[in-house]
Amino acid sequence: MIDAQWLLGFSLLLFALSWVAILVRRNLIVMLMGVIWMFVSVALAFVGFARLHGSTDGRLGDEVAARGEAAAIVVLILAIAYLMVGLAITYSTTRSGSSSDVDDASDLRW
Amino acid sequence: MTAGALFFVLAFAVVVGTLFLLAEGRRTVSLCAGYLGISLALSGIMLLGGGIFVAILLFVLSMSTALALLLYGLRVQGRGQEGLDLPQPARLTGKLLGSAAVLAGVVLLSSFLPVAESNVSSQAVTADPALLGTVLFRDLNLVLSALGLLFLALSVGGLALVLGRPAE
Repeated sequence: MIDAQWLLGFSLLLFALSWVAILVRRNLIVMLMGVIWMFVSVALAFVGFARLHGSTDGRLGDEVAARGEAAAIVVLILAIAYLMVGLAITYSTTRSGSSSDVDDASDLRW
Repeated sequence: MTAGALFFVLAFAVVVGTLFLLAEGRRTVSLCAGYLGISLALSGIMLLGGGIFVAILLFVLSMSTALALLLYGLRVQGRGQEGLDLPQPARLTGKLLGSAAVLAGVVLLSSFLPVAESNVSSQAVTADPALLGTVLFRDLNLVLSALGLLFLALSVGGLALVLGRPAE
C-alpha cells in the first residue's frame, strides 16, 4: 500500500526536478517537457490529496476521490492546451532558421 | 512485488532518468525516448496512486507529446541546424539511456497492472466512474470548459503559426 504522503512527496520532488530542467537547460524542447512535468506533478498532488481525504468510508469519501480525480483530469487537459500553444510558438520561433536555444529568441520584435 | 516496492522503483527511475536526461540528452530521438519512458513511469505511479482515469489520460498525453516533439525536433535537425546536436559519445549515451528508459517504462507498466487492479495489494481509493462522470459532466461542467479551453488554445496556436514573423 502506498501512503498518500509518499505520493505528495514525490509530486513535490517531480515539481522541483521540472523546475531545475527549466532553469538549467536552454533548449525549447526540454523546457516544454519541464513545464509538462510540472503539470503532471500537480495532477499527482491532486490524486494524492484525493487519496488522503477520500479514504473515509461512505458518500463523502467517494465524492472527494471523484472530485480530486476530476481536478487532475482538468489539470492534464490544461497541459495539453499549454502544449498546443507552446509548440506553435516554438515552431514559429525556429521556422526562420534560428536554433532551438531560447537565448536566440530573447529579443522582442514587431 | 508489492505496490509499495513498485512505487519506489518507478519513483527512483523517474528521478534518475530525469537527471540523466538533463545531463546527457541532446539528440532529438534520445530526448523524446527518455521523455516517453519517464512519462510512462509517471503514468504508472499515477495508476498505483489510484488515479486510473488520470493515468489513462497521461498515457495518451505522453504518446502524443513525444510524437509531436519528435516531429518538431527532427524538422529542426533536418534543416541542418545545430539545434539539438552533441558530440558522438553523448549521442550514444543518450540513445542507450532513451532506449533503456522506454523499455523499462513499458515492462514496468505491464508488470504492475495486475497489482494495481488488486484491491488487496494496492488498496487504491479509486473514484467511482459514475460519480466521476457526474462531477465532470453535470456538477462542474468541467468537460465543456476544458473543450472550450482546448479550442481557445488551438486558435491561439494557429494564430501564432500564421502571424509569427520569422526572425531576421
